[in-house]
Amino acid sequence: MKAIVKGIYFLFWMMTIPVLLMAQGVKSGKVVDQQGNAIVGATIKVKGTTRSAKTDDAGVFTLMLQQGDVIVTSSVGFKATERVYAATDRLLIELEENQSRIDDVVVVGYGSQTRKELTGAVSTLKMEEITENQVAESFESMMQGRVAGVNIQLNSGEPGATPNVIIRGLAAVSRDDGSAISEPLYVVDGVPIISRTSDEFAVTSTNVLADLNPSDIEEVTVLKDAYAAAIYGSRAANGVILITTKKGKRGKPQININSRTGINFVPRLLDVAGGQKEREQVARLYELYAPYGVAMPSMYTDVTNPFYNNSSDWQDYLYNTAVTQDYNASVRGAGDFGQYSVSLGYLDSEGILFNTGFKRYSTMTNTTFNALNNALVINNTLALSRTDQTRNPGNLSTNFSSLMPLPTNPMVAGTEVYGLGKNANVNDRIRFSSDVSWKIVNDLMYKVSLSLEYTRAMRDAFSQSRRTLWGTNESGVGENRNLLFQNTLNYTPRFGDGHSLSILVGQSAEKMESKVTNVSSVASAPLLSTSVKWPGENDIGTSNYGANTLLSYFSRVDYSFQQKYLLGASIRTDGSSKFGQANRWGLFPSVSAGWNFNKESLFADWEWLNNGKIRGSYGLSGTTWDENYLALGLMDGGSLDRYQSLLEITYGGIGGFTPTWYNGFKNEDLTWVKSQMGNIGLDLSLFNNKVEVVVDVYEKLTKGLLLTTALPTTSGYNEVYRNAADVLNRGVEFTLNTNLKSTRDFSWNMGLNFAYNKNRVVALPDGNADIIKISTSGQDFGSIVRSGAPLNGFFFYESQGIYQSEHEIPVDAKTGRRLVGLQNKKLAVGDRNFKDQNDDFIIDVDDRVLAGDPNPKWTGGWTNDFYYKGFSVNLVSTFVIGRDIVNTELLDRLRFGKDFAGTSSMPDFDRYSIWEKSGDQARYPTLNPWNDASQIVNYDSEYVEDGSYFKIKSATLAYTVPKLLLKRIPFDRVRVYCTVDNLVTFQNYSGPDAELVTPDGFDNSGGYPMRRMVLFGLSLGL
Amino acid sequence: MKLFLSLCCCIGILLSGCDDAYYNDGGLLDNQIGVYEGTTMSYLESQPALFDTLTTLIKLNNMEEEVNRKGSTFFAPQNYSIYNYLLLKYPDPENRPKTLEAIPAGDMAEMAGYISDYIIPNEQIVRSDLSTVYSYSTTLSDKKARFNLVREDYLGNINMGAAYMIYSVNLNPPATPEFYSPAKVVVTDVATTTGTVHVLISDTHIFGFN
Amino acid sequence: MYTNSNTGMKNNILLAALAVLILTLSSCKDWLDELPINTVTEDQAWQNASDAEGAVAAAFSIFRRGLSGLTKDDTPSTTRAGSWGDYYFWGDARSGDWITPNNDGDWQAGFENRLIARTQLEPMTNWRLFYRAIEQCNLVLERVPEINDGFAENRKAELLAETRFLRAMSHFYAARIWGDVPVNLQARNVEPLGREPLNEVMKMVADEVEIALPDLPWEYEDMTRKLSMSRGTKGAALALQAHAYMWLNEYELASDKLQLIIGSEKFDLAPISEFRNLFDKGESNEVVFQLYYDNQFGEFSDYYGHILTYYLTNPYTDRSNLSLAVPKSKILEIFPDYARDGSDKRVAEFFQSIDFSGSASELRPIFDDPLQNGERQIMFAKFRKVKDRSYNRMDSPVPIFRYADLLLLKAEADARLNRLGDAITYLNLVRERADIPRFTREDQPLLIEEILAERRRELIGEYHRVYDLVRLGRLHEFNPFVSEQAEKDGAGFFPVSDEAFANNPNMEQTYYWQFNQ
Repeated sequence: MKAIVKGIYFLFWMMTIPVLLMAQGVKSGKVVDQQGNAIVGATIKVKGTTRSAKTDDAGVFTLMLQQGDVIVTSSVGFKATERVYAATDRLLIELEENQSRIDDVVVVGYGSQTRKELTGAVSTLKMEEITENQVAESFESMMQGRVAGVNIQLNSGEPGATPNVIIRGLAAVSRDDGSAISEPLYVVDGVPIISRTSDEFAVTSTNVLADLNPSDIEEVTVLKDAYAAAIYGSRAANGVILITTKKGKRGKPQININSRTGINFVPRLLDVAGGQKEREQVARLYELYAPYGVAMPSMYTDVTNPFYNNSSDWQDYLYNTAVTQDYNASVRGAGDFGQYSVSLGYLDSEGILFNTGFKRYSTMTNTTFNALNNALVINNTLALSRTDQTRNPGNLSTNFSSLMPLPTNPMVAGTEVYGLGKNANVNDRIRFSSDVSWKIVNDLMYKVSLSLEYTRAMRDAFSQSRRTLWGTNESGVGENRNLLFQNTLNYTPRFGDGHSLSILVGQSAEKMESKVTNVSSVASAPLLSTSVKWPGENDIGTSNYGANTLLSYFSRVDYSFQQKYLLGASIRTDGSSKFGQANRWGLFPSVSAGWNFNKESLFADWEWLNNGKIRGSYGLSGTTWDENYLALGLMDGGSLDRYQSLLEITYGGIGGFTPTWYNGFKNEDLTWVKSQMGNIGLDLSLFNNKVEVVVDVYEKLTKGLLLTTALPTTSGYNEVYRNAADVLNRGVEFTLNTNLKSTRDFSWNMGLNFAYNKNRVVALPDGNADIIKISTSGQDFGSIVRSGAPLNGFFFYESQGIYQSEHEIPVDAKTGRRLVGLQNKKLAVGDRNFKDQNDDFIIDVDDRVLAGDPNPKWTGGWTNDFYYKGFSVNLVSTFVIGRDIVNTELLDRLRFGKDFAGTSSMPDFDRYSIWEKSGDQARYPTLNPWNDASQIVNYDSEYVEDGSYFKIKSATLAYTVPKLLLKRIPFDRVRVYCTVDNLVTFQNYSGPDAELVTPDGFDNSGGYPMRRMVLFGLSLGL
Repeated sequence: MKLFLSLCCCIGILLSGCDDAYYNDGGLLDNQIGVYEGTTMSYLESQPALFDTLTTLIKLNNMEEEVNRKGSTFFAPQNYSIYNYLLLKYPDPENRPKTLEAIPAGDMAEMAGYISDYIIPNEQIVRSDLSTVYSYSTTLSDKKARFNLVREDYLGNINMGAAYMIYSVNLNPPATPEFYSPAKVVVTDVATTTGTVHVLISDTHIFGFN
Repeated sequence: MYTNSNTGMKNNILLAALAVLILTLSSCKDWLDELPINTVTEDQAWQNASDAEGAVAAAFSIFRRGLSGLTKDDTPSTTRAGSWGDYYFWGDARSGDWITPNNDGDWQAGFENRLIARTQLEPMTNWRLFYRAIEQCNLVLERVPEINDGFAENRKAELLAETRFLRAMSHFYAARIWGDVPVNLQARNVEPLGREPLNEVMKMVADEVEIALPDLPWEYEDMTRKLSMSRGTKGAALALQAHAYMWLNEYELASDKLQLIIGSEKFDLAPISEFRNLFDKGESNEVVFQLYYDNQFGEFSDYYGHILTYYLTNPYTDRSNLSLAVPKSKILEIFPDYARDGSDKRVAEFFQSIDFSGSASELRPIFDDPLQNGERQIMFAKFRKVKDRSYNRMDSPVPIFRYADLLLLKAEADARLNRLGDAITYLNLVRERADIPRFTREDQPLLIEEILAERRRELIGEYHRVYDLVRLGRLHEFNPFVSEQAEKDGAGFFPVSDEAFANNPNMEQTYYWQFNQ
């Protein structure tokens, strides 16, 4: 019986095979890209039939083919091709990369859209290309100069420092008004995350976002205009940065290992007068200015004392080359069941300053399960990370006098440069988010997501003076807990010919809690272990708790007709516990429209125009502030003073509450800051997607900026907060991306973007009266907010040179009194000659004029990639044009107090023109240390400099080992590269680096210059 | 492969050589700094801003040869110390002598006695043979003189810093318990042809160890 | 089967989804009400008796910090991070009796009355903390009357009277320093106030104390004597009133008030042997009103915050040279009895000579003869601390009124009323305590002059001298840098700081300081 069956079976095959052979044969073929690498998951379909196949891991496919079939091969990111099948063909199909990103899917708020249908100002950035070449502590520093309108500045060279991100101009007064945040909102995979801790709860100064491993990020999308951002409501006025993490792709499991080590070199340092030069300079100052009876310290007079006969270059001793290592490994894969992605990362970058550094340990797992044949998709993400920033105990100064012997000198053998102790800053973060999206009907999708985030910052500092053996011991723990619960319903029907509609309705509830506990003790030995113990005998602890909640309802409707005419509208209401009772809820509407004009018949025959879209949007979004209970009028229970005594808390052991003198009293109608933004954009892609042009023009009016206004001293209160000022930001953004492929082997991609921004204060309370803020160095130096002038504008005293002789000092004819100098000083020869604007014969606040604008006019970047066979060269540069800054770093070093001698290093006077005797044409007035009020003043129009710079940020030379060499070794992708980071800066600024300047225009390098790194990397793919 | 790696290295070195042009090195003092060609008296006269009152007083009391005595050590008080002394001696400005010459003989003799408190006639006191333990000698006015070094701190490390010399004289008469009034030395070991000179601090030391 | 159950199942799932939505909607009412946990809001702050007790104590602690001096925590525009003990610089520095042995430029400018030119002295010209204490008192007087639960009626009256006394004391102390000062008797008063004439302020002080007197006890039962004398008592209030009347030249009223204090027998002169308890710990029956400092309660100062930092040197603190001192020639001028025959016992208690020859890192010995050292090397040692060569835990209380001061004030008042007999008896009480011969001359001008000299001896370095001289218009006689005409133009008073002019058009500078720095 079996044999018969077998026989029939055999017969059957014998019969069918020739027919197949004759009529149609089972063919196999391979799909590869231009470099010859296999393309996984490409689909091959016979036109007009349902027969199709997918290429496997090796790019091979099998398909029943007949003579004359038209084979259509397509894959994501490549151009589709059609070929007529002829039996003799060797089926090797090569696909050309599809440069046009029009039908890329772009992640937008609470969903995604194809780029063609986008109507908001959205820029995306693939992180893969960047993280391949560069290593940095935070992904923001890698985004520098790559997205138009996003101005990112690194203010300090210290590893782990927080960069400054400003999108589309400044809309918050940054000086001592910390409450208004000008930071954008950071959203990772749809969930807003903690991006900075408010000063009240900050325990460590490490950049909170530095624990997000850049190699885990697939793509960063920046929502710049109101329509794209308004869906995030009261926190989105300064832009939203959506981060999408890498997910597994179909096909063979992708295993990637990327290891690199870099050497950090010391860049240009501060100028110093060494050894005998310092003695001459100190002697000169004493000779010129010392009052009778004041003698030089004995370290300068006692010339025979061997201890002081040195010329030590302290900066050279303290700064030296350091090593940065970065290891990343990831396993990712996808299949019908869903996808999985597990990644590990370890970064250890030593600072070039002794004993400083930054370590990051990060791991992220991301899994997706498809159930009920794709009707139910469950996403789970778990991310754990720890950053460890080590700093020096106590404040280490890098500029000791050059007469002091270096620790390497035998005379002081066995001494320690630093005080005893340590200063460890550790930030941990655990982020768990899971969402379930359920497709009720094929166009209706309901998604619920829950996210828990917990960050814990720990600081342990112990420093002890060797003389008194008294040590101060501080341990601080700051915790933040975020809970987010979000439901969205998304209905995306398509009907009629080309009508497509997307309706989104959602609700989200968030609770942000933050807690800080600080314990400090004065004891002779380190008492506190890393974990915070509640106070013992002479420990004193303080703790603080704050929480705020947010409840929002939002909805968005997008309609497109044949992807030609696009309309969009969104609305969101936010209620927050921070706002005063009177107006707890905010409304944030926005509308937008777009027209893909290239689809019109008129342009049909412009084949060089592949794509063209005009889009416009208008909307309202908001910014909120840090303090959780500002509107409720908090009472203050007093705080420990600098010696941990209770003087400010109790009197005779009894303690009580006083009002918070700084925030004034209860203020019901405090509300968030509203930003109305209009945006018109043009997207073009030309010459079959070789050239892409994006132009945006925007105007952002920020109303009700939170400002403090001073109260009379007799009231007892310092300031009171008010929604006071309106600020207008106008600007143009321009992006040009080209990718030219001249010969088969050589191609060149270029990305140029630049943005112009003009910032102006348009309205102030009390009839546009100036708001004069009192700064830490006295009434005459506070910042001024003046209607019509830019925010942070420099209102300086107008310098007219230096008084060369007595009679140059003006005398008031009526009263015979001489002009009274700044800070009520009696003017003398050699002092700075400030212009008395209002002729009242006293230099004070009324004599200040607008002398410069620290907000950059043009910011942008220019990246170039050259590919030739296996080699590739990548150049990234950023530039800032039209900015005024002041080299306060140098001014602080020139401002000598009465006991200046011997306490720190002296600048090299030869490099600066300093006034000494009448007749000197000098830039700097007298440096008289015994003057009643120092003449070196930051607010002097003489010192305003041009802060523009062009910086080649990184240059990379890479070589990808071609496929055929890889036969023998088990890897299918090997890439070796060398990168130089912070290569060269072209600037005409006198300070070390024009980028190390804070948004308000003052040099903030604080002695930690930006290192230059040479990095060698090897990345392997299995 | 090798070509590629070497290319990377030279880029790195080329760009990063830390240029120490920022450090304007004035060099060290040569060890001849402490030598003065000339007698102690001419050394004092070579710095009028510090010693012109002292040299006039020495001349008025014609004590040049004690000061220039071979192999002696002279602790020179500065003008400001003598100025403070005169303020104390004649508190009310009206009857203060206009010039040094106008000082009455009695007071001048007393000041001559004070000058001899600063002279160690037959011994060369130099920093190298002193230590933090007291060592003694006698002044020209045969009062007991005491010398010691005091060490400062260096960057918080106790007593590892520079050492400066303290010169003190016992003001009480011989039989009574000793009371040493100290003065810090701000310029030490100036070797002149006739002996060694040290300069005393001016703002806290008053002429005559008041 | 699959299809229809699908729609059924679909319906109930839709219902479930809607239910979830509604649930979150309803909870929104209390979801948005977030209240602080570890501090209170304005509405919660005035609920019960302990809130009231705490608020009054807080007012005293602000007044204590006001006297020690303004720092950057109080107002960013001032020029120093730590306070120096400004009560000394207001009350003693310009008396002409002091020098700075280590030539400190700031103190020298202070002695020479260059109070505006020298930027470092700006914090002393700023009265912000006095008005912060006054505002706290205004809030107590406005909100405490409404508190009833757990509050014994007489205790509430006592607290309100004590607050009224402290508000009057803040105005009085500011008036002694700046002369004409604004008067603010109303909470949350953000109006730009002008300056009231000195006499009006003193009248207000006297009237306010008059209202408070009936409810103030001589002593609080549940407090130690030291703590009781650091709070508002009947004795302190009467002393404040007497001083105010002396500024108003109402000698009769001043004498009566002082008679009430003397009559109460609550206070007496501590013997010389008790001076250490009196000055170092503030535990003595001679104290009438002082500002409370105590190591045990954690209320101490360190390098910043107390004048001891500049009075004392090694072995008490880590300072190796003297920063503020009374020159030896001046001591002998102030204490003629001691200069004659070393009889005044107070000199050994108020001054010490340190052996400066030893190394700075060991405890330096103290000579037994207080004036053994040279002219510029005598240490002012009225207030002392543990000899541990550190600035830690400085907690000697700051005296405001002392029984000896009140006896001498009574003597001055009676002398001016020509009751020379009484004046001499009270003067001699203080002289006998100091073991110096009794004063017998019944000659009015001579007696007043001697009482003033006795106040200079008894209260040296205790923040009274400059106020006495300015009250009598005789500062120019003792301070060479202040001329007679300058004193008439107001040079004796401190200038008003720049910050007081911010957003306050009604503020104007004292005549003298408009033209001088």
